Amino acid sequence: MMRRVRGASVVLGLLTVTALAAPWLTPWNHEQLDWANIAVPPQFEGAHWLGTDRLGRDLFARCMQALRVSLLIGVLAALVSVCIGVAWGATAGYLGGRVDAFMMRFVDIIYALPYVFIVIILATLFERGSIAALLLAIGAVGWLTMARIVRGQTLSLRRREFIDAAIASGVSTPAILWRHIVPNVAGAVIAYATLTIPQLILFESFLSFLGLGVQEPSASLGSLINIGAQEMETAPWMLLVPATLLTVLLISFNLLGDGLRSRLAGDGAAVP
Amino acid sequence: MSADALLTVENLGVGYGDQPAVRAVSFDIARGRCLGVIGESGAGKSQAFLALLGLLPAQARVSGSARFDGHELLGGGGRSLRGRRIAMIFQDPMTALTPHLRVGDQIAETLVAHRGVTWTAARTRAAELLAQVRVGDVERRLRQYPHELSGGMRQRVMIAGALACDPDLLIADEPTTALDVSVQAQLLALLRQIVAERQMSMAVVTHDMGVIAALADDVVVMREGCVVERGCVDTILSTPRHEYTRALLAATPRLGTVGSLAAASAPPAGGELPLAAREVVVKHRLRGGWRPMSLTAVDGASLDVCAGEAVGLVGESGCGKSSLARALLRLAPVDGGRIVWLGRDVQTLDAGELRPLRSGVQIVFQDPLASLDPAMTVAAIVAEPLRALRPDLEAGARRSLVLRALEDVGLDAGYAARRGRELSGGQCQRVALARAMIVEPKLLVCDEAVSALDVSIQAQVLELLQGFKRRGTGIVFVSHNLAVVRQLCERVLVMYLGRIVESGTADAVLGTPRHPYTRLLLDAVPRLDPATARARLASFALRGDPPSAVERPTGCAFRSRCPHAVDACAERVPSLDTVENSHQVACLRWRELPE
Ligand code: SF4
Repeated sequence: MMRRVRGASVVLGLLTVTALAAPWLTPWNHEQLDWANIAVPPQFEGAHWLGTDRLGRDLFARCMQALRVSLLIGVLAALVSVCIGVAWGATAGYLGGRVDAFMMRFVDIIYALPYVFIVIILATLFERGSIAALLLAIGAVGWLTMARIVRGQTLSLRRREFIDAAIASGVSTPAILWRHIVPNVAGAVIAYATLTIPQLILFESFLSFLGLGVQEPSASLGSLINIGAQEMETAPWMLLVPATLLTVLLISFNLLGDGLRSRLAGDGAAVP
Repeated sequence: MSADALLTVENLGVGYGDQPAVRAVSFDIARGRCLGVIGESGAGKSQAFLALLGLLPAQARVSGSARFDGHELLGGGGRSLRGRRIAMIFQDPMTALTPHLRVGDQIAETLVAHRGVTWTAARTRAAELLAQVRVGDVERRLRQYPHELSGGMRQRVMIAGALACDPDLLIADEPTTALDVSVQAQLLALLRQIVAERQMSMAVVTHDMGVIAALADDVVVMREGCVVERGCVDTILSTPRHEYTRALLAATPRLGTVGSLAAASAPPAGGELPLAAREVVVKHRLRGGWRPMSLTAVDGASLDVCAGEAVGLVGESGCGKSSLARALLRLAPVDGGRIVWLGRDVQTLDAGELRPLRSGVQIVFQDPLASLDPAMTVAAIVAEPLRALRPDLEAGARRSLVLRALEDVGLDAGYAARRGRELSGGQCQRVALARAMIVEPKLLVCDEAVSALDVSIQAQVLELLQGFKRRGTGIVFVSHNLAVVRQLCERVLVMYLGRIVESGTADAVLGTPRHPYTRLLLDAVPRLDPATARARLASFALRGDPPSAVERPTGCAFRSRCPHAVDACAERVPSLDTVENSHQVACLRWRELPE
């Protein structure tokens, strides 16, 4: 288990570093057209290590740029959902009673709405391709599960005597939430957040695949796969490269999240 | 080694890494006899038996030999005999039963697995077994789930399950520790009968000398993984040779202890504390179902405390003693009556006005580990009340107060940076005490504060409480352990299903009890003399379980278990009647009952 976590972290680290360092690694950037090499397969000549697309743009540069976008959106959207989810879930679980019932019914209602549908509407409402809008749209729906998880953990913490001891010590409710509940749910939250990132990345790719996400000349892994799919027969590398990248990325995040979950979230309190 | 030994253990060792948990332990269990293994937590007593059954985690190293009727148990042999010829029952029956399986299926499952009988036959047998462990209304019980049963009932189900395959050896690991005294006495009686009827051998692992006195024929005393003394039960209890056994016996609280802690202290002189609880009613709302139900946990109880005085609040689980204690701090909602602190009804205080209550009344809970936030260091935990109640203090001043509070409870500065899980149970409880005492409260509420501790640690914590008392702190001491209450408290209130049934000085209530319930509780206190212990048990075998507060009998709530109940008891709720001085009792017939 530890080996897998370590392996996944190394892969993720390498991918992130390469994505960030790409502009210095390759002479090409993602917008530049190389008229001499249009739709060439991977080759060293001209430094097109992963080949080029129909317009002669270097695939390595485009993939790395797409990876940056995907990572950014995944991580930021996960952060948004962590913030809303933890605040919402901890408050509901701690206060209990009617407040809890009301807050959680609200979550249930949003859950019941067709998720994809909402995001598509949100994405079309805002200026097309704005990353901020995408983030908001994805993060706003992603917090629901987080809120449920945190509420569950909080309910069981609420029954522990140290919470009563804190109340008896005169600690105010917001301070109890912040000092006692949040640190003790952190393990579960971190683990679950790591598992949400790939879902969110996948979701962003899906939106981009539909043409609702990141717009040209920028790309995300989803839009690259979309383009690649159209060229599948003549230039298979255009599909294979971004698809492989996405798969590796998702698998690594999932392995990491799984490992963290079994280590951190087993007991709601086991935060090192 | 005697010839008729059923189990012979030689040089058993268990270790984790280079930490030995059990060191070269040898003992044997003769056929038809009961071996008592006593020791405090960390003595390795449970480890030793888990090793025999192959139930230890994989990283444990086990050495030595254990022969059971010709079979070697160690190295995997124990696994095949487990459940068939050797059965085990555990302390906490709730975690040992599968929550989603009905009781009947749970027992039947063992039979199907080990005996290969059909499910129908297994179910019939399960019913017989339940009847043998004196469970009434068997048909209904078979269809219930574990959470629907009381603790005593669950433990019976566990025993029935253990007996399913007619084992030759029954290992009972702290079988009655989680139970109320009266239920504990019943179960001990039951275990004795069963073992005698079936001529089984038994090993009982416990920290409680009372259990040893009641059940064991031979005794092994363990400490830190080693056997320090062995012998027959009469010798060990009457003339122990090893100093550890003597210390254990001395630390075990006894009812009759003369010169107990309470008697040794001067009578409280400080006058009444500004606390008054009058006719308090606490209800718990129960979730589930269409109609929200509520359960009356405390039903009109009153309480005063003097400075420097300890008031014991005793009764079995579910009698409302904890709810009453928690209501004093506004940790439980009050649904009737008044709790007044410094002239103000605590229910009406808003967040800002709570401060005098919070710095005047503090609480220590039962579970030492659960009452410390696992994410915080000891220093942060102890400093918490100061942060909240005295925000004007500077960090330096706060730190020195924290260190002093820790020192007060016997922990040096080295503990400040540790966390709860790095401490022992006793140390955790000291930290909790330091946290409670750092704001110098006038009243300290102890909710079963020593129940989870080993006897020697218990004695130390009681000594600390005694010290606080001498400095003028009033204590409300909630406990089910009458012997401990006898040691610490000047006054005692006995609660039954939410009502106070007897109150008065500790001498009066525990010395000349008037209420039949108080007498039952006193009778159930384990005795340390095997002969008396066993004689007493015999009378307990058939008494009922305490009813839950949901199904409270009309009239006198104790009616269903009272040996003196008459028709009139069903009609009128008895109120507290003065016997003499401050001694009060709530029983319609107390005058007629024999002294
Ligand atoms: S009132 Fe009746 S039932 Fe209640 S304790 Fe007295 S004699 Fe027993």
